Amino acid sequence: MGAIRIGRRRTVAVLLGLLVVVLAIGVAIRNDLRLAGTAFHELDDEIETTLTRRLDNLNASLRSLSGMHHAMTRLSQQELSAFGQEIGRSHPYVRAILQLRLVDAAERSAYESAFQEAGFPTFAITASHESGGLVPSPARPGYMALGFIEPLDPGLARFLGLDFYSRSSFGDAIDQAVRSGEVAAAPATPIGKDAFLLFKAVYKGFFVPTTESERSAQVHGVYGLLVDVPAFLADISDSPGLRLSTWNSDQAVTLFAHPEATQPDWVARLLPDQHADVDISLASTRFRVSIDRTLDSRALRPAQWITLTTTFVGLYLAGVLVVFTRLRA
Amino acid sequence: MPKCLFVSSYHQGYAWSDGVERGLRQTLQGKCELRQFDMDTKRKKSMGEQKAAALEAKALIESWRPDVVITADDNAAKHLIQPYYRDAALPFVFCGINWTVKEYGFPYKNVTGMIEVAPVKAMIEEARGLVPGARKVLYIGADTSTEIKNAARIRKAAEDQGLVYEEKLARTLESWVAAYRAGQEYDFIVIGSNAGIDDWDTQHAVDAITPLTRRLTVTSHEWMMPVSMLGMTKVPEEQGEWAGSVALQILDGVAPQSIPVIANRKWDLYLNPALIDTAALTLPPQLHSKGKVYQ
Repeated sequence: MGAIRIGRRRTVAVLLGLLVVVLAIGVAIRNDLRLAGTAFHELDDEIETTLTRRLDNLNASLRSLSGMHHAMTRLSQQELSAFGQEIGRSHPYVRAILQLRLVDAAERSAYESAFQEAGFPTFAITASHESGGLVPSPARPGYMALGFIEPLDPGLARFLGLDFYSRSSFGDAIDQAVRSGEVAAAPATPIGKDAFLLFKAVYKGFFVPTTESERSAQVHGVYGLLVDVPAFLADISDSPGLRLSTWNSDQAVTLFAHPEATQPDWVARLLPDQHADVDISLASTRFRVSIDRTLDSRALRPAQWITLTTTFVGLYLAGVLVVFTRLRA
Repeated sequence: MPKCLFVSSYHQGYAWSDGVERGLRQTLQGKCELRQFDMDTKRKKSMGEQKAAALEAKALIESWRPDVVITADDNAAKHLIQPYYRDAALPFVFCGINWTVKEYGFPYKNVTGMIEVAPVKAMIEEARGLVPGARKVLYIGADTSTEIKNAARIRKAAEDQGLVYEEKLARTLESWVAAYRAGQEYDFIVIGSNAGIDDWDTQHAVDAITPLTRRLTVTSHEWMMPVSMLGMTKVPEEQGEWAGSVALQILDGVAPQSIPVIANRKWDLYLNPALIDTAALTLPPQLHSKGKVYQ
């Protein structure tokens, strides 16, 4: 009878021991996940701070361009080129500065001839196919024609003359920029890969009109920044998946979606994904940064598990020893 | 490494060509094997000599077999590309062609590049602003096909602004100085290039004009600043850099015809204070503070 009782107590002690081990590992994993959550939260903060600062810088550059445009009666390409070079030097993520002008249908022929006369013999206002190809623009009431790029490189030169209204994604952003007087953004396809565009409208006269209807009536053109996404995201640690969106209408527009840099291992299937949305506002313009990170075995620290389990089991064994000693006594 | 041949219409030591070459070499350095052929057509003035120089360049192309040919200035386009390589398989990138490529029929499917334009409209506007009531302008340059082309543009810009335009093209330094002397009867003088004046000596030219100078002189050529007061000058390196960048794109597989022909955009502002003082001209303070002092 006594032997049976001792056998039962041992079985219970072993089962309780296993429970303690499982509990210890559970606590260790929970700790690891909590630490990963904290690190992700810190990463969100870092990304929000960095991207807000960079978007603010881009906004300031566009405001400088707009200010220069409004202050001067005549802004030559030479002057704009000199100014653009300085912006490029101070913001390595600005791949190019674009100047677009609203050209009325009646002005089209004279506008094209002026460029041809100035040494651009094949210049014409073109439209962009959704496939990315360029064709002579069909007649329209007005064109938002690209007339200046700094720095001009052979890859971008073919877009001189492109009517940005011919592409709905550009047109929506430009309309938003014109109406609001603030910056608006669009994906850069087909102008550039791995890039997005920021626009700011400029108006006739020396000062920006104060009402939406006046802004729409007095628009002169648009300045754009072609922003290089890898440079824009440079120095962001941990390289999570990032998507930047904006709203030019009710629907969100994705400016870029950058996948997570590293491929997760099989453990990721057992762990929860991390996701956060961070909203950034530039005046009335809203941006949303969606951050995704997949947890995998790199988030787990088995050495900590062993330490914790050993501690728990040690405490448990000490307790068992005390209990058995008392029972025998 | 791919092979790039640079055919210059002129010669090393000519300031414009040297600037183009500098820009080109800087862009292509380490990216292709670069070989240069100078046609020397500022000094080889007869049509026969120029065509012979083009045939030499053609022979070099056939023997060395470059992957892309870069040419600088008009004569290479006129005597090499147009007669022998129209729509050929070998890609050509030109630069430094003055004002227009219409006369060569460019672009061909294998040819693209950069046209050379000077800020003549801005230059004449500036000169008119400095000489209130100006009515007559004289253009002085070398008696070459390039300068005849340049003079036509200056004429149009001057006449568009209501000025009476005349030109004097010189073959010798003596006739150039005589033209300069005659220019003192005009309201201002536009100084064209000296390239093609065989006995040109800058110091002699400066010594000769200093006692004569009473009228404003403007130029778009930096190397003419010793004999000009105000320069709105083209930047030759821009031509070479563009030609080099286009050549690299072509070597990467981009079709030449997909890269449009464009014009240069850069120019710089120079002042020659010694000559300005000689003429006792007073420039507006903003121009004084903005212009680079020509050393």
